[in-house]
Amino acid sequence: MTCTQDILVAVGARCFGLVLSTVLALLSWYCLLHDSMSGGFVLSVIAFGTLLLSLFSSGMLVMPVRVFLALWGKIYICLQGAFLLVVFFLIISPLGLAISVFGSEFVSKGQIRRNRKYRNKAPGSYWTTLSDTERMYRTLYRPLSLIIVNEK
Amino acid sequence: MNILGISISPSDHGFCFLRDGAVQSAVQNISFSAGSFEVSLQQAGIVLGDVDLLAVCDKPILQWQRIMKASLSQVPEGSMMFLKEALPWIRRHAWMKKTFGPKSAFHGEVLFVGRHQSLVAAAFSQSNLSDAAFLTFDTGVELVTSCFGVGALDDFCVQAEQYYPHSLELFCSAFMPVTGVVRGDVNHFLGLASKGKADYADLLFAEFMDLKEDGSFRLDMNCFNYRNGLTVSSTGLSRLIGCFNDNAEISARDLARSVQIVAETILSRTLKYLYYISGKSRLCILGSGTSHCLGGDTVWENSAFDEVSVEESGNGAVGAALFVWQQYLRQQSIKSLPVGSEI
Repeated sequence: MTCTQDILVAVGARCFGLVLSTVLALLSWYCLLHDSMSGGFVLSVIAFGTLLLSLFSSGMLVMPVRVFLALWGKIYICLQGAFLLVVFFLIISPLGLAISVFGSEFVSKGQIRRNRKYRNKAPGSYWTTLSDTERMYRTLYRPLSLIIVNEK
Repeated sequence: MNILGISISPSDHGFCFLRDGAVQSAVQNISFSAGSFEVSLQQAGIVLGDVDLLAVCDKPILQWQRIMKASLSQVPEGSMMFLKEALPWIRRHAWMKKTFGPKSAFHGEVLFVGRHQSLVAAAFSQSNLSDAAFLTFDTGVELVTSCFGVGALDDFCVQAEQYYPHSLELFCSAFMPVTGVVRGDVNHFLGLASKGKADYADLLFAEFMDLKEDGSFRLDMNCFNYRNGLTVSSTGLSRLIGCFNDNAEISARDLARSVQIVAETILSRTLKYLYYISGKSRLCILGSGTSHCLGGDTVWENSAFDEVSVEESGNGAVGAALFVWQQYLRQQSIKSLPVGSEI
């Protein structure tokens, strides 16, 4: 492996660690917002650990970067394929289907404006019906952790 | 068992001391800071060392979620609002355990009860209704702005909720400054409404909200903003001004009446849906200010419910303490029973 590649791998390992720790920190924040203390705690510990690794011992994160570089060609082709599939199935195909079913009025400016006006518009109701788990979440808890007391 | 219920939200702050399920003392509108709070407790004859459980009305993390939601939806203008709301939140909640921690005489457990659960418990205790449907309205201190469900004081469950900022109370109060009424001066607003005509009701339904048959609604947030509470935005104002008459006073009266009509329609539809879905003949409603905006009891009287109990202002501290006594401790005692015991 050349010197340039080594530098690339070292920098890549550090960046990978930073990105991974950021993602994990965001996930732990999400868990805390949804009252999952255990999930938030575990993820934040892992995030902090990854951050420390990437800052002080990025050599330990070299392996995933090497694997990534080795498989980059295949990953690149897969990404291209996935992008094309997403573009076709999520945008072109549904749009064509909608126009064929509802007519071109469906994509008229006025209709789009009406659709945008009320985002997350529910078909019949805006009441959010609570599931059993959500009802238990609402029952009682500490500031961050969740203690489920209603076990009916 | 001594339970101290406290409520520290800006609109409802006070405390309540509960001894073996009976309210010993309840005080509202006191300032919440470590020193003055203890003094107030001492004046009410409550010794913090005797308290076994501290029941706090409001779940801090849900309030935080509401602050984040409101701030993030208005970036970058929302950043100032974030600072304005986040700092008091941190002051109120983050140091709570320290306030009642090792330095104070309190050594019990701190429990956080949902705002709406507290309000429902308070409403049930005031109304003495059992096996009834309930409906609450709030400004969305804790993300939830309205909810309904069925039950009694010792056992109720929330069935469905609506979330901030889609609040009936916020909607009504947002129009107060537009009509020249100081926010919160409900009597002045009702006085205007009593002289007006509902000329703008159709406009409000069409341009400001999407109301469903079951009384649930979404406000068009292009017409409102969150700064200093929910207010009508410049877009909303321009939609209104397009329909205003030349005589501003008459328009203000008509607008107040129109807002009242919208509130009545929302409540009528909600009650109809609740009667259908709950199957109960009794109803307990709690909504500070909502009934003020209605200016009468016609909505309740015209509903299909046989018995309706309306509590205009809820005491969150009393509700939190009662909820802990009636539900949390009861369930804890059920858990501690041996398997197979009769309850």
